[in-house]
Amino acid sequence: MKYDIGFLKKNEKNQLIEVIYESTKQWCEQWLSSDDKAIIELSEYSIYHQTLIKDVGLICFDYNQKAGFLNTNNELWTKILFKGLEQKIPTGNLTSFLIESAKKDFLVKILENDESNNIGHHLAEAHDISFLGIPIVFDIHLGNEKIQLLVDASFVNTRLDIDRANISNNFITVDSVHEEIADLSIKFNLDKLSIQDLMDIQVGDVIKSNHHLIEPFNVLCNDNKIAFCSLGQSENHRAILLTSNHETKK
Amino acid sequence: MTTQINEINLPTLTDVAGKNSPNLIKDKLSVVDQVEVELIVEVGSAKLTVGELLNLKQGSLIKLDQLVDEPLKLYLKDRLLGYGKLVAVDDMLGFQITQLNP
Repeated sequence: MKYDIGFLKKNEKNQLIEVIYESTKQWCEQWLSSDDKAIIELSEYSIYHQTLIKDVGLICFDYNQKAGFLNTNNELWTKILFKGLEQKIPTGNLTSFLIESAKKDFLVKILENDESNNIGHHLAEAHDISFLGIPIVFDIHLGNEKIQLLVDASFVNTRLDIDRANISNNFITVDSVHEEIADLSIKFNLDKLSIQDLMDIQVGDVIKSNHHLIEPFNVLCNDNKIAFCSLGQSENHRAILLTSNHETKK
Repeated sequence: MTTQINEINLPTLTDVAGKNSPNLIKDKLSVVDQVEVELIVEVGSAKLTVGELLNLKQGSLIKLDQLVDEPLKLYLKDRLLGYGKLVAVDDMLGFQITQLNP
């Protein structure tokens, strides 16, 4: 097995860091009072990490060993979680419970962002990990402290696949255009008229259409049909209710 | 019997119509009358962000920019011809013109 991250393209590496950064950011917002921003670095998995896992172990969920923290004593986590208060924090069960909860929550955010997975699962110490893919090491710098996170490339692929579904080929994420404005319009065609009829049109004339009264309208986004809708009103404005997308209707 | 095949060279043409040349089509309207046009009614429009657009679901309500009583726009391609309102012509939709642009 080749233990490196060379198989990832530059964009994939950046995207991967972004995935971990977002999870870390969410965790920091919930657990840390500090405004320090996390710095995420990718580093190559090496025999050094392999030895560390054997010696100190990897802290991961008992049901999922695709991501875990290199085992460290609680001192590091105390420094991160209780920055400036380390000396005042009692070294009892409550502190250990808080640290364990923080670790679990961090892993939940990194793994699936599903809080429900936190319930009923325990952290376990693993010394013999069989990675399905290539292991990747993230150094998460929080202030002066560094947490080392190991994740399995199979996890990475899953997360990237999800993200790839939402991005174009050049890896500009949809998020970057979320605030752009799109014009929606609802139009229908009237019956065709000869030029003569068109020139004879006067105010009050009624032009028929081929559109049945109960037929849904096309919703157009920059003249591309994207959905069907029914027409109505809401709060004194004309309004539409989306009934189906265009592909389904076809 | 043999078939002879020769290349064809197209002659160069020059526009020889002058100011006083007679019109070829006497009744112009009768010619263009054969052309049919399709008018389009815009029921309404709305501006959404791409984020909002991507989050649209079946059953989503979109409030359009136009008030209920505001006249609908009538277009010939992209040209705004006038305004009007929706009417029912039997069980089909129709459009009654209330204002024409000069």
